[in-house]
Amino acid sequence: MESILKLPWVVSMYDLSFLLPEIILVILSFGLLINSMVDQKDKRITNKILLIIGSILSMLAIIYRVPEGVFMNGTFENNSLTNNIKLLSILGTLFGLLFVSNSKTDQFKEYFNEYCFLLILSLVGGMLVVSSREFFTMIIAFELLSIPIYLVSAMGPNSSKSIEAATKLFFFGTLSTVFLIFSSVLFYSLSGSTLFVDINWVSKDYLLVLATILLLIPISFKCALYPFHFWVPDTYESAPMNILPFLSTIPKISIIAFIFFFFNELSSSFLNNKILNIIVVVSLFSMLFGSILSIKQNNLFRLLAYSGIPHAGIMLICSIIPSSISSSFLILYFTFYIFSNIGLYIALNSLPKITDIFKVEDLKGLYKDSPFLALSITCFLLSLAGAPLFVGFWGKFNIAIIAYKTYGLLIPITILISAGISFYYYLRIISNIFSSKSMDSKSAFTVSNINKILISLCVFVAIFLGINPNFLKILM
Amino acid sequence: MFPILILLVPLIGALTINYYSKNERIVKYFPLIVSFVVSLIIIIYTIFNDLSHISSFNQFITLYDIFPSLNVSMSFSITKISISLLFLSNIAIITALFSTLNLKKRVNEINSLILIISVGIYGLIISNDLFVFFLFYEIAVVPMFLMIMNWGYDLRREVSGPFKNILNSLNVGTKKYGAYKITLYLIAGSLMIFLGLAILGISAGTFSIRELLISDVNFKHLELSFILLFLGFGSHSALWPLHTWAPDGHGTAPTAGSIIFAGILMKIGIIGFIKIIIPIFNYTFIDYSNLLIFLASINIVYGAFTAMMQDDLKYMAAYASLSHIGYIFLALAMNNEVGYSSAILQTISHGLTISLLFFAVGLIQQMKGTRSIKKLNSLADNSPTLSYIFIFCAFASIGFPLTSGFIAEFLIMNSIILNGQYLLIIIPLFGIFITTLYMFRVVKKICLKYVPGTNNSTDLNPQERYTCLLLVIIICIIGIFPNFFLNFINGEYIKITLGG
Repeated sequence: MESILKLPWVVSMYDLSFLLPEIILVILSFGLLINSMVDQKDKRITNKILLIIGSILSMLAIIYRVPEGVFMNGTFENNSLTNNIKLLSILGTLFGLLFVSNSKTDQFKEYFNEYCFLLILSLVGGMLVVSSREFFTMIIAFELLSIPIYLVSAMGPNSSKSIEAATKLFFFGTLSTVFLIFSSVLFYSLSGSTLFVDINWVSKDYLLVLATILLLIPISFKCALYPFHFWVPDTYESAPMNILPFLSTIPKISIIAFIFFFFNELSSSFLNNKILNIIVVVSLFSMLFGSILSIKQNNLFRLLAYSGIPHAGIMLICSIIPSSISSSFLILYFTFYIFSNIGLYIALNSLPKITDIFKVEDLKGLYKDSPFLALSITCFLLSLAGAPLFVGFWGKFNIAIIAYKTYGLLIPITILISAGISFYYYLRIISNIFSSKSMDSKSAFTVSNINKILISLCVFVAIFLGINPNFLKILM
Repeated sequence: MFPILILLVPLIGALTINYYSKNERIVKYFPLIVSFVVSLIIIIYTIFNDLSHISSFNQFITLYDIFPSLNVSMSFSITKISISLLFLSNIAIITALFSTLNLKKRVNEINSLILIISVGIYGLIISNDLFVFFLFYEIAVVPMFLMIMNWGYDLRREVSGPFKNILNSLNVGTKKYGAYKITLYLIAGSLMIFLGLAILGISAGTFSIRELLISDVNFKHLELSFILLFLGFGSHSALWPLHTWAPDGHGTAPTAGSIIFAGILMKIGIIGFIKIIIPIFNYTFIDYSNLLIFLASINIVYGAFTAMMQDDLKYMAAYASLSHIGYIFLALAMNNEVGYSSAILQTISHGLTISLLFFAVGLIQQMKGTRSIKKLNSLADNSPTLSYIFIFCAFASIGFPLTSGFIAEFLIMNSIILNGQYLLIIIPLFGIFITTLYMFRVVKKICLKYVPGTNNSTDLNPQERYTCLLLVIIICIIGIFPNFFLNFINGEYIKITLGG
């Protein structure tokens, strides 16, 4: 036995243990693909069992097996923060995918295994983005994150519309990758190395600023930040609605976490104020523009898509605040954003007659027909708006406070203005839900048990962390 | 244990009535029972904590840390002032719950909204942390919005004046206009308060009000924070230039909503002044007290004059309450002990009086179908009890002797004289004079004027009669035995300004 362990391939396998959660997830995704090919009666149950077992295994691997430190000559890093972010995104993906495999709408009747396969690959890309400390790894991980999303968003119910949106997404996405590669070339020409550690932030070279701006283009495209947010409403409207829980959270989270690690050295000692100012401007404009654009929206999914832009802006601000104070608040915001969004989309998709042209007014009288859905949707919306006693309150306002500590008054004022505007449009939805008219839908409100459990878990997270947010820190 | 109890009991009540939403009796009477249980808890707590030792009645309770790195913790402090404010808000909540008894539909929802608001108010009054204060403070906003949106009145008003085109296009007087106006106003105010509290807490390094009082941080250079808090709390209590939400909110809200607005929500700003601004920014507050006197005087006179011009009873009551809020600020700006305790007394007295007034106006609208002073008449002949109640309200808001308003206004003038500003006494006197004018005009028109041929004799049912009686008795008790209450809060001003 001992002689086997000393064989070279076993040793190299053992060395790959820092990638163990990602490897488990890749195996899981191919298991799902095999599940779709095997001829059997009920593929849904196998699919769910595989999903749960795979995600739990990889989470256990993160908690117990993954060594912390820098690996492969500094290209890959695991620390407690990356581990927590990965745990969160696996949990979020598990929620989203259980919902996908549970949904019985037409386009999901047969292909749920394929959807899960693609989205898990995307999740692996996101996890690699979080851990990458070098440009090549980062570019590959970025592509792994986005290519499955291009594919999935083309599989919507209204095929011509969703193909249009997916084409838009694909062309601009690949274009943004070009900028990513160009910026990494510039960084390489400046430092002579592809490692992030070697970037000299102190230098007054304008090429450095240019490279950062070029890097910000793909980042803001993929997180839907201000100047590159145009694809979001179209895609949200026409992509299959059941993947929205995944689409609206995991890519954003992993890329924001990447920014946090990328600019860590810069932001913790304020080495280059020019670059920091650019990022601050991007995030301020995202907050204001996103919230102002959402005011006039009437289509529910377009409204929710636009309302995600200010959230990305707030997370971006948090990611360039010195890590010693911001890391725990970033995790809190991620938790809040993942669970509130996923819960919201699951609850909305459980409504009968939900389509891509669903208006805000169509929610009228929901409380009369289904109090459970109405109350949980209200809970998520209030959490997203930042109402107290929900976790969103602590998320938003802590970031306002630490931003005031580091950058002065301008950022907290903008955060609060955008929060104030967001109250307006979220309250518009809520007032429709509680209005006395009836929804006059003949189809009954049957929420399947799994969806009920998922929604209640999300509500529990939103309220419990709203009452005692410090619990998360103890847990982590 | 006390804070957990008074916060959890209404919450459990709200959940229970939604669970049994089909059973009409539970939905209507269980919230009342819950509120009476809360008042029982408060009474028991007050009795068992030995009030005779005046200086020792000050309890601090910390439940858990929220953010240790920022020194934020879920902590509460219970003082005599908070006990008396708790009583006031409890009574206002009970009145609001009584006013929902004659609703036909969706009673469970409005009652649970009232109970949720009460959780926010109770938590706000006893909080000992700036962050926790803000947290509870924001709870009341969304239920208020839903209450106006769903149970409010649509009485579109034609507006005149320089901005009439814009205002008429916004449909002034509809419930949608009122709901959005009040919510956005309150949110804008609370954002200012949040900024102020954040600047204060971060510069001092702690968010606990008690530690802020003990610490020797120089608050003089935190004027930005002071101004933000001043504007935020001022807009919440309808201080003059920031008052425009109050009449529209009152006019469109249902009766329960109006009672909660006038009785409690407008007091939030004053609680903020009493709990945060005056103790912490004591010296800055003295610098700015002339500004506050100026604004409060405008409130008194302007509110009274505008109330005189109104035809809608609810708008009249709203402007009257604006005028009475002015007295409280005037008393607070005097910076002496009499002023402080008379401000608290006026807060409570105004809360009780205005709750009764709005309750009566709600009953008038429900029975006669209109709120217009021109259309109402012969109330004393057709519904005598209601008319007596309304006349009592008029006397109480004028500040007639034997009602609580008399004591409060007398003490306010006393505090002005103690402060040496003899000329200033004209303003409350003038305010009382105009209040008398418009109140008597309304009483004469709607109660005493008899128009033959209007035989619509409907009167109060027993529940409504008992509610009114409860409030009348409390108002008279405070008016007849003010010393009981004044001794209760005696010495709090010195304790607060000296720290601890």
